[in-house]
Amino acid sequence: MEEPIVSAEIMVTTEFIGPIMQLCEERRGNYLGMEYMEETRALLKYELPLNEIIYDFFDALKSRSRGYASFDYEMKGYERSELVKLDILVNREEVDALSFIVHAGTAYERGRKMCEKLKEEIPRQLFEIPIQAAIGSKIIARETVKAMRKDVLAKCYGGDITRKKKLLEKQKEGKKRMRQVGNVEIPQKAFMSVLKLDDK
Amino acid sequence: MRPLQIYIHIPFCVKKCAYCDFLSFAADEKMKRAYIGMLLQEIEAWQDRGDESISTVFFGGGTPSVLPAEAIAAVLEALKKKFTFDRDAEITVECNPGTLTADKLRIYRQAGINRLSIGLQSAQEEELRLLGRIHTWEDFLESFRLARQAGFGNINVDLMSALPGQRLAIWRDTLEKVLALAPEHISAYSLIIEEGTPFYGRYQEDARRRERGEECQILPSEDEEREMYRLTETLLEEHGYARYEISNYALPGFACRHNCGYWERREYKGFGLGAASLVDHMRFSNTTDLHRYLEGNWEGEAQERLTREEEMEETMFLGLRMREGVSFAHFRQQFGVEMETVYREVLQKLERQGLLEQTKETVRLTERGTDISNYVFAEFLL
Repeated sequence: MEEPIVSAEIMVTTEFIGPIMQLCEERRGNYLGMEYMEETRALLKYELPLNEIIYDFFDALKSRSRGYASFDYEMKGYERSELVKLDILVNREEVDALSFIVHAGTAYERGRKMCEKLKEEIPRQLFEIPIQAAIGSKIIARETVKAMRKDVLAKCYGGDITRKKKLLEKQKEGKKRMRQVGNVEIPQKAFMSVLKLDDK
Repeated sequence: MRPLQIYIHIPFCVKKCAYCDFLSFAADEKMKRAYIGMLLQEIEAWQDRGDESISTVFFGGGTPSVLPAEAIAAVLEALKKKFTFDRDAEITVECNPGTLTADKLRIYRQAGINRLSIGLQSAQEEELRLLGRIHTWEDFLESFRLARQAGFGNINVDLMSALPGQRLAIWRDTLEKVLALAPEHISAYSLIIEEGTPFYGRYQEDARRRERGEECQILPSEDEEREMYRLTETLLEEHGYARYEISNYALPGFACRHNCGYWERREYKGFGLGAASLVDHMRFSNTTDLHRYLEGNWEGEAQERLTREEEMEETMFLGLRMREGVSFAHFRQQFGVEMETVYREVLQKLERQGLLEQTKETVRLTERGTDISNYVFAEFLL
């Protein structure tokens, strides 16, 4: 399999050279060199897989350089690479929107993180929900959202009724903003959160 | 004559318990006197419809028993002057064991109080300290004895389960100690960690863990909490108490009529700080601001006139709290339409999910439905 590679130039203030180089290493970057532009600024040159910079690389770059880094790239070409398709299954059903092409080396880590994130984001429901990451037919990570066990208001007397009604309305509203995937209700923000796995 | 229930709020306590988020606080005698004075004015000033007969009165709080007995008697007398009372009206005063005396109880009886609700929460000394209660188990025993001696034949005891560090065996012990006294009524609530209370700061993290179904550090786990609930049901039923609502148990004939009124949507008028009312299809409450109340500005925010749909929703999510559920006849009578017509899909779905069960006459929560009753209730919103 081949994947597209870019040549990137990253301008950074010298105090952040370390963290930015680390970021590029994490993203399977190939270090080409560094030039000092002034005493306090350097230009880092890396080759990076397009796959690795396409979602939140820019955000991570900014956050690790306190906003000072800048980034420019152009396509270089294609290179052979060990890529796999990582699928996410919620309640044993594949969720197309969450499938990713990832490098084989990072697949396990990525799969694990995605399962953990989804477990946090998907609310408990009437039944237990397995969340699995798979490559082909092989399950490489799994989390479980336990079935709802208790959701009761112990006291509901005269003065509680108005507040209780508001709570129930909020609950009902929340459900409307969910996406139905098979039998499972998944909030919109769960899909977005899975893309931002670099949040530290 | 149409029935009306009365609620009186007494927002004073000796000291605030660590878990409590009710409208209550400590106050000096001057404040309490001023409050009672204003309460009497509010009662006098209310424009009733002229055709009511009072079926129940409930003095709640706070700790109504922290007031001098004469104050309670005076309020009750003002109510009796203003309204016609049912001959067998149920008249309850909430009490704290630390504040009851033989004299107080005698004056209550004389004034016509016929039901007491005593806040015990736990029979374990360590738990009482943890909760910040002002009394001991011995204090409660003494209060209970005095109440019986004064002639009270209708007593409720309030209990709380799922306390920090509590295990099933300890909860069983509290239940058994209370059952040995044979009160007519027991309210058993699961502790809720409320925002703005000292318990929130201490146990909120743990409470969140529990909500996610994870291991807890000090609060009983979800499974343990449900076990405690099941134990209460079983043990109390063995001793002749019927669970007639999610958290309320009574010997035959001793269900709390005032509280049933809330779940059956009977009309009630609340007097006092923050007191809530349901009158003429309107829900409204008094101000929660003590200074405003004492100035004579009793009203709270705008009243909300309930729509027919809202009343149907309430009928379901309040009525289903009762073990017997909601009867089809009652729904038809109230709204002139079949429950089936309004809620066909909801009823079918919830029954399919094992959360509701239907008989020819009624629909009610199943055991699992009770465990996740909030989920069920939300389904009835139109």
